[in-house]
Amino acid sequence: MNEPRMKKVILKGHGVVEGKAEGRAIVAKHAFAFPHGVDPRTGIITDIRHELRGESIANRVFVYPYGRGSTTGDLWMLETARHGKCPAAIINLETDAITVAGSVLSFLIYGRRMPIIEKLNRDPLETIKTSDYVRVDGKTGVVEILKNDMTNRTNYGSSSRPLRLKSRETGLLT
Amino acid sequence: MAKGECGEAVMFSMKILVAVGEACGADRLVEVSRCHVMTSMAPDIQHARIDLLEKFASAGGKYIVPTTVDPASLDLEHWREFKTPSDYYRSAMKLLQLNRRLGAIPNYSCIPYEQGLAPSFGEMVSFTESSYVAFANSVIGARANRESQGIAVSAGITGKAPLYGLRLKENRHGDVHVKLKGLDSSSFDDSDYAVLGYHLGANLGHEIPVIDGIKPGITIDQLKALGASVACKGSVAMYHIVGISPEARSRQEAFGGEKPKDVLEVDANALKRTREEISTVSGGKIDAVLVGCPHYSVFQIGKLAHQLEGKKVSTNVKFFLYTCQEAKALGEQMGYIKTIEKAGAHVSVGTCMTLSPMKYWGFKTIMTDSPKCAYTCPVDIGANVIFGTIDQCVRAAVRGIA
Repeated sequence: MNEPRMKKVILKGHGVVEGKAEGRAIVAKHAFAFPHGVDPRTGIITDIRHELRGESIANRVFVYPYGRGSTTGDLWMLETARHGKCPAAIINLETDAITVAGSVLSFLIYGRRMPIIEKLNRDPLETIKTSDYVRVDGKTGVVEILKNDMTNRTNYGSSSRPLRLKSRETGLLT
Repeated sequence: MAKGECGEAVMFSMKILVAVGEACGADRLVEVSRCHVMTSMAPDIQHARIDLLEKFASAGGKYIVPTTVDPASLDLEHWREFKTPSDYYRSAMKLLQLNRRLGAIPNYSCIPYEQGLAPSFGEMVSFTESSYVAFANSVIGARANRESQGIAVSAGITGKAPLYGLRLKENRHGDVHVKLKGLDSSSFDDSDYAVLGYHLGANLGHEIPVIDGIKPGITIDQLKALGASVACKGSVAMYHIVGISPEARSRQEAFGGEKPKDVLEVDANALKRTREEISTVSGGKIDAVLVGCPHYSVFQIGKLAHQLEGKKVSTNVKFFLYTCQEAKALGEQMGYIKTIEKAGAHVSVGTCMTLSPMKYWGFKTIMTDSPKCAYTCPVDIGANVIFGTIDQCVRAAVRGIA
């Protein structure tokens, strides 16, 4: 990818599940549940109560505060990985057992890495924007953010499609 | 152990347990003596579930501690009588076969504690099934976290689990003081406890509620209903009832000598509003009545038989009662099952509504006495739901209208 007019920000956190990944960020301000929250075949968020409904998490660096919901969460993540539509990486304020199990299983069973980083030295929900391109190292806990300063929102990564920030722009969170 | 000298399945399991343990701040693994896993279809994720169990089974995995299973995806005795797509049937059978290969106990129920398979006080366990986790922690005093399939299967194969969360005594104290305001629990029926649980689940996050003001005499079935409802909507894994729960003999013990972090007052109006919120429609024509979420005990089966005696379920309504093999066997000997079937209801064993092929049966509106069923059905079955007491369910079943 080309990196013109980019500002680089580096954050450091606790690497929970190892692996290197990069992709366009998608940032949710509210907790997220994989069970019935995402369509595993497409990676599109289906939870009608979630601020990012209709957006895709497939191959993106998915930033959200906490996991929530049923204990089938790891299987939903695994099914999403089976279809190749899981996030490239996950960044949480604090992660949970079920999300970790989902990530480890995705690698063991489908060879799909989904590194997880938590407890960053700056609030990722504020620092990372949905238009940013993010590189993650789950071993070192380093998160590299390439800030997009441009006013026109360019798309990055393989899963690119026009970016919609409607819910954030209008402040309609949940 | 994680290096693989005990076989590939153990190695996989240890990788998962160590990663989960590190993420949850556990400093070590501890021995668990009992596990409970879910092995039903949930069509959205069935391939992942089969691949996961297949991975462990083909790597030589065997449960080394007693491991029970949640309801199966088919009525174990009568699945042929109900429309079941052939690929659904094949996947469901595959899961049963994988359970056999891994050496699971074929109890096929969400209430192992009513099947003679309960843990004891203080026992370290690894359970999926949020209602069983709530019961084990709150009624028995076993040490259970809300764990996922991947964790519980790994724990069953290794006999170990990370020491975190509710496995540690210091994390089992109450957070929120729940006060019943102007309510007399001696007039509560099963349904009131279920609504109270749902109300708490909807108003709490991960906090542990301490319910004050419930009089002794609450039954196991009422505790089962309360726990299932408290755990289904939110993330509650444990509750205390002062004077009832084993780690809450006094209010002080429940809070571990600390002050409550918060107070939640519950009055009749709040419960009435919650009761209404559980339904997606307020009344009208119904296609089905579903009871037995969690599985009915023989006491509940007896109560239902008494209600249905001499009545006839409307020909426009399918009535399903879900239970375990043991409760049905007792109910049969006591004549309850005959009475229920004579009224035109089906008794389904070893499965449950949301885990059966019911979404293919075209129900538009169902009625249930379970808030948990009411919560999951709109998504899992795609039907509207009316919540009511068991009396209201039986009346609606006979008339075809709620």
